[in-house]
Amino acid sequence: MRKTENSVALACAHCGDPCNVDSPRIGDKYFCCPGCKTVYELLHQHELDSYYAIEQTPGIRPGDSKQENRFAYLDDETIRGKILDFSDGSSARVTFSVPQIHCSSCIWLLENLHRLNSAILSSQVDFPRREATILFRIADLSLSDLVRLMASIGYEPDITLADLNKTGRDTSFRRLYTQLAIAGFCFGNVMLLSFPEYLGLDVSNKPAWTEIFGYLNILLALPVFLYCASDYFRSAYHGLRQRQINMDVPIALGISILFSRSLYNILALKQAGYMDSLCALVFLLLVGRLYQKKTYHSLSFDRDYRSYLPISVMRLKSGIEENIGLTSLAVGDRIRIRNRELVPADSILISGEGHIDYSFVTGESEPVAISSGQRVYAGGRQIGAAIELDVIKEPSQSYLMQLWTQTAKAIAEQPGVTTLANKVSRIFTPSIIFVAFAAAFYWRAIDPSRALDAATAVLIIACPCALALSTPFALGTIHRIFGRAGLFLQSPDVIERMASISKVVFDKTGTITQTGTSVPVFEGDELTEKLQDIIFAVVRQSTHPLSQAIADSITSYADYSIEDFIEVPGLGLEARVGGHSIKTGSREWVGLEGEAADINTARVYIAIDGRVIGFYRFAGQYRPQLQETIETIGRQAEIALLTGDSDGERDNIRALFGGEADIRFRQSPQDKLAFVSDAMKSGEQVLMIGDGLNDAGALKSASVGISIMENHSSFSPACDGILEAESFAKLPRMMKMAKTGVTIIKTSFVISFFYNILGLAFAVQGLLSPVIAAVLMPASSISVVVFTTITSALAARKRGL
Amino acid sequence: MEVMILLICFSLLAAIVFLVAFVWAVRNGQYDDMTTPAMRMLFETKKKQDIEKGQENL
Repeated sequence: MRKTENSVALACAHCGDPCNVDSPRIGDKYFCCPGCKTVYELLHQHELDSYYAIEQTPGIRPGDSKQENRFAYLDDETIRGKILDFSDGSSARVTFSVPQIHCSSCIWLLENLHRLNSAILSSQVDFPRREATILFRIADLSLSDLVRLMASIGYEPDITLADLNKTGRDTSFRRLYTQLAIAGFCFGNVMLLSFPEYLGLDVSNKPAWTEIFGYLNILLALPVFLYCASDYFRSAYHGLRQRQINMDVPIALGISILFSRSLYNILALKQAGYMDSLCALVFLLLVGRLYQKKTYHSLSFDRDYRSYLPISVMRLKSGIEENIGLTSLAVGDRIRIRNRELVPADSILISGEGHIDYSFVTGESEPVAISSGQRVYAGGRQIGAAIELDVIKEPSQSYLMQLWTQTAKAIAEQPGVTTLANKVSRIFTPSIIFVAFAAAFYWRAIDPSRALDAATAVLIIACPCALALSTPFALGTIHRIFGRAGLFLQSPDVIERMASISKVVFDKTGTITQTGTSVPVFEGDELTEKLQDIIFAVVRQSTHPLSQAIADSITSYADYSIEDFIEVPGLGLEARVGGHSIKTGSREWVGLEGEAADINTARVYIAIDGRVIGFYRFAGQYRPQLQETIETIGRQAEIALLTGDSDGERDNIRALFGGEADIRFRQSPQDKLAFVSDAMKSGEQVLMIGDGLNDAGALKSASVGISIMENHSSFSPACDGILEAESFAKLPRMMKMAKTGVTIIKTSFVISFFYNILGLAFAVQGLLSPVIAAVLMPASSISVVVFTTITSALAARKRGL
Repeated sequence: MEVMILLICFSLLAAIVFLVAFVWAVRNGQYDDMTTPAMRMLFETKKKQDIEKGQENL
């Protein structure tokens, strides 16, 4: 009894993976692999055991530590200069992206790096961004040694080509906070100083009071007008220069009139101004802007090919291996690409057996066999033993890069999208100016002294604050609801585009099928480290997807040589490894009789020395509820499927998608891009759902591109939104919710027009006193904000999001 | 009543001090990451014996 309990409960003391009594151990602590044991020892030695006390088994299995010179390129002067945030020769600061960060133990360990190496001065983790900023003495610890140290404890920084063009941190938040603080401060104080006016207190016997309060109000409104509202003036100016009247044009107009009219009132007429309304307006607009600005820091929406390519490559020069930066790779260089590494530039295979997996590029999941002399395109992943290649094109000239330039071109040719608010503003702004002029002309005939009064009052009260706030609050609320439901959008604007979708284009592999199928589950005897090594050695030899999936699931450190390898298509593999004979494959291949209990799932049986020890099970292929999801989407929009695969599954897919869907097989990334881009040009609004680099062009050129994310650390190409795989079935409801959102915005426009008409009634009569403005303007804005926020939340709850 | 002017100026000055402090904090990057400090706060600098005791309890 005790023994079984042990074998079930034993988990690696470092990473929590299951292990057994034969696993490496220190005292009563077991480890799944020597790597984890080494990390434990290292941490224990430096008295960093708290790591294991904060969270249970927080560790990350360290990667392959064999390739010691892997990071040598980091000491190259130019590369180092670009990666470091700052360096003065003796100390340096660097910010690494460390996607492995997942719990508070990670934060603790990474912030205690200085205890592992005294040359590290301090380190700080930014959890939402999965970043670590490290200050260290570069004279005592080279950058490559620092990265090696981090890799040795399982936190290898993710350094890609994109790191060479770092743009620095986005500090627009700081500016917005500052603007908001100043606007809020001035708003409050201006209102306090306007109290005598609100209460109608008679201060006429002391005229100095009205004047002093007026001057103070001007002083307080100046920073609001000049600094806090500056973005609206800038945006209105850019809009007008492109001959467009966007929503910021009437806002900028309203703010300027408010300010100048108040100046005139206070300085010339010695009366109260509208400074309180001005500050309230700017403050509320900025609150709306902040509400709309919610971002998901840990997700990246703008990855391009550079985020996929490694920063360095192993070059062979007169027989010596050296790691060089990808940017210094030149045509004619000989490079070596090891198992599961990306080919960084178009090249020609010189020696070794090429099995290139182009799933990144072409969408084809089965590796292509390449013989020497043949061409290999950048972005292909070598599966199997190391190969040597001659570079024939610089990385920046490669096939992958061209796909990006084409995408940019395709997007440039598409008609631009105008947001609802801007559309309204196009009609709204001229009408308001017309009303203002009409009022001015009317009063000029009757009472010329009130003409200017009425005209400016119209422009003040019509300042579309409520109009400008309804979109950020409605979409901002839906944006947050979507985030909780598993769809992370780059910005709330995407929701508006989502509401007008007329065509939905799916990718097949990884989108409607689960990538989870490539994670096989072993059922049978306990898989020891040695067994895993043996299985890995054999399945690695095969290019069959199931073999590869098994190989992917095993981290093997051993290097067994293989004898008598046989692969029988449709049946399985057989080989001798380390003195054992091993067979992997179908039931009949390993000698089992009869049918498996569950025939719907693929199984790969494993037999060692003639004894079947168990099988790998592959779970169902298509996503759950796929049929319903597609049917529901089909009722809202046209449906198309583009896949890089061959038409082997034509019947299955036809049954799923129904007769009307446009289904295309063997689509290259260019074909996908062209399909989406043509549909967009013909006036369709396309929603593209895909994954991987092969869909990147189509995702980018579609009006909404959503990429499916299997887990949080996986890469996603440039897109407008990232959908968690398990939320796939919620997509139709989300599309409906987006439509509801736009209806809510339209309704709130009606509400704000109602307030505007009420205000205009005062204004055209020349009766708009500062008090009426100070009540009416915030009241309209706040009621619109409350209406949109509450209705959006209620609508989402009704749809079960 | 003229003392009111002085008082208003003082109260504004006091408020401006806090505004400046806030703006300084924003520029200093204190509002860049509002998640990690909340987690960091809970770490204890334990002595070695405490750690061992803690692990027995796990």
